[in-house]
Amino acid sequence: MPKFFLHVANSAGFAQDREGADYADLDGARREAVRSIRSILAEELKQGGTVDLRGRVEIADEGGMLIASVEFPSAVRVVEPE
Amino acid sequence: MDIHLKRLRARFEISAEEEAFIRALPDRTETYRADQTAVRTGQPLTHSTVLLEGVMARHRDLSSGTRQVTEIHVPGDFTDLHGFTLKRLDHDVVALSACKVALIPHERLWRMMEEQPRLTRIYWFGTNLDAAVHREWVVSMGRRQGMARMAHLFCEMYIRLGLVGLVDGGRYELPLSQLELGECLGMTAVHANRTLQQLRDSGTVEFREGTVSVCDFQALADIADFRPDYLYLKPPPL
Repeated sequence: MPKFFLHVANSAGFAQDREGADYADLDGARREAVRSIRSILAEELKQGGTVDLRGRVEIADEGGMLIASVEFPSAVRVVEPE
Repeated sequence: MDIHLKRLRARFEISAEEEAFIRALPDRTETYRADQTAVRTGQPLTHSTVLLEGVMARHRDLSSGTRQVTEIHVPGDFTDLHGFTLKRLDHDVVALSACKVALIPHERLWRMMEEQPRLTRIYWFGTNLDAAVHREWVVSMGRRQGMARMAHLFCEMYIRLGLVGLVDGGRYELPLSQLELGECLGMTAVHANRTLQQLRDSGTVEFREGTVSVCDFQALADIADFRPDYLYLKPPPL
């Protein structure tokens, strides 16, 4: 299983993933990125009442090469009142 | 069993006779490699396990594929004394690092109950203490926000490892991956890493490659709203 590193960049700063983890494939890493974005946004919303969608999870391969990026807005669906 | 006696003696006096009895409890030792399951949910139990070296965890796996760790065990702990009465567990026990354990046959615990009422009370205290730790984890999972929840875990491990002499200059070994840390705290590995970054930025604690460095325990305890009362560090004599 390939190893990927998932770094988080948003207005709170940059959290570098030094450890990485094994995923079935890049799609598996993308799904983890989406779950993590939702988890982080939920936490921020509970803490401060703000949903700040300016952020992304960067996915790097074992060599440190950036191979994909998952933007925060792509992980959530916002339904506003009419 | 030295480390187990050290853990007991952190809270209670243990006589030479009681020590001899405790030392004669195990019938063998066993080793596990990291990620190896020591006790499986539902498996019939004839022994209880004392952790001598390494770190183990109690956990439940859900059908969604997610795992919740419900307690971390450090050297000196009984990982499944409750298995003596329950005869099976409602959770797995897994080695998080290479581990060495001592296995105690349940019939010897039975004999202890008949011959050593004071030790029986001390081990009863032990399972009650386990329950107190579980309650505090429930409070964390339900009410503490991410940073406080993680800070609380680092505070608890600092105190529990300190009792058995495994904290050195504010540093201790906690051989967990980010994924496993997240499984203790109900977070994804990525969320756990980001929370670690926030704690690092606060200047209170660092966690890198399985080593926790506590820079400012009081400030970390303040973030966590950590009060060690639930660890019953100075219980009245039993």
